[in-house]
Amino acid sequence: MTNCVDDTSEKERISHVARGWREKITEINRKYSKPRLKMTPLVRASLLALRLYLIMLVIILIYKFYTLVR
Amino acid sequence: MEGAWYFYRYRRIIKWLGLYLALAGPGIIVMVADNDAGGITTYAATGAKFGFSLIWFVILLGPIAYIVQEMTVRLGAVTKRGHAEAIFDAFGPFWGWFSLIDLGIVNFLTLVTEFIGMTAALKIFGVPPVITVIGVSILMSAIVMQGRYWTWEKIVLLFCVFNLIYIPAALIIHPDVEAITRGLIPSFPTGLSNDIFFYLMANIGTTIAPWMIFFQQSSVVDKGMTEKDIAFGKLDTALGALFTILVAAFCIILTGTLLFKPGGANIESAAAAASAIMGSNPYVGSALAIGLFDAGLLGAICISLASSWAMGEVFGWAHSINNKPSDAPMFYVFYFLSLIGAGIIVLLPGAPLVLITLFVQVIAVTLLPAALVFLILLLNNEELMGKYKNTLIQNILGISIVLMIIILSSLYSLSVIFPEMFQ
Repeated sequence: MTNCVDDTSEKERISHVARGWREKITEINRKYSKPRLKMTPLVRASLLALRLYLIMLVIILIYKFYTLVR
Repeated sequence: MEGAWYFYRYRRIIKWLGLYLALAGPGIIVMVADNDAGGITTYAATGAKFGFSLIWFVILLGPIAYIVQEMTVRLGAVTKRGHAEAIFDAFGPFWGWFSLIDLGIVNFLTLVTEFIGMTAALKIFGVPPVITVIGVSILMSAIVMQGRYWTWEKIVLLFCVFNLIYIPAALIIHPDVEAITRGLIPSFPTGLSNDIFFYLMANIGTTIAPWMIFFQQSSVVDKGMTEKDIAFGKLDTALGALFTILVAAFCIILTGTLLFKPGGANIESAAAAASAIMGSNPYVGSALAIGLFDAGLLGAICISLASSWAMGEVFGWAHSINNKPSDAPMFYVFYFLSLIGAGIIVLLPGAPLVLITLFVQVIAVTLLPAALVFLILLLNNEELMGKYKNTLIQNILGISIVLMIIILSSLYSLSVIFPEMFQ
């Protein structure tokens, strides 16, 4: 009986902590939802280049992983 | 009359020096810690492989590191924000989370490599890895938990002095000064072969790491530096850059004198170099091992703090070393967790430590370009930086260096993923 109560309270505690983290992340997303930097063409181009660079890196890593597994 | 003028000048210099000593810290610490366990291994391997012929190249890396890190001083002093928070604020949650999560992973893996360096260094003296990990964790906890940024900084500066051990160690073996002088003139002794290109990329890769940008900016903010302190911050960074190239050059001189042979010698790590030297010259071998331990310790101190500061900034936790653990529990919990986690991984039997060391280079290159591009964009924002924004010359230098670092570190990362590429 005591164990059952302990398990329930432990689960509640974990779900409370998880909820707290989720709320905090939502709050951070809301706080920074509007980027302060003006999105000039130069800024947009730089961020696009960064995205493309990262996509290329991910493709290379997936290819390496695939060749290793194969 | 003349005596009074000299007295006035003397008092001004003393006052200025006092002010500099009060403000010195972040620049020297980040630059000296740049020569971490991985850095020392790269320099030791470069000396063993090419002798003194690449000294000119590591000297060139000093100004490069200065130009990048100087920007973090201005950004931190003007915005009073760390780099992680600045990215969230300026570019929104997508790039913010990307940078924070990537920084957390890269820093953790790099912390593991620092522990690998420290345990390997002390193993030479017969200290078991478990004792090293426990001892280092206690020491690093004690340094941050005393609750004063000033005290923390001065203790870490003391560790920076130990990093200079390579200078006397190289001097006592009486290196060939004429050959060193020849090494100061830019040249590629074996032509621009794949081998030499790999070493150039490795040296560039150790010069600017993502954690350095985040660490120095957060450190400037935690120290409370403002716009009027920027000049001292720049001097501090320049002095740090000078120390870092001195250490790198003397490390190359050391292994270039004792391990280099025609055709080049391959060494796996700085610890292997120290063991090899130990047999013929125990004092110099010990100095190399002590220097490696100190380098790993400095790297570990800065890297774990860079992560904790970044997390604290974004999550809004109290995140200053001036806070006692009871006032900033999450900041310290995160700090200890990363320390303990990295320590445990190093001690795990059969842990893929070599794979982790290689993986760091690959993961770092996913964050470094983003951190550098954000730095340039932020430094060009007039609304944010006011009169401290980048000038045209700073932009030309900064953008050229950033592009060069991105290209070379990406190529280095590719050479780690595909080792046959540069053979």
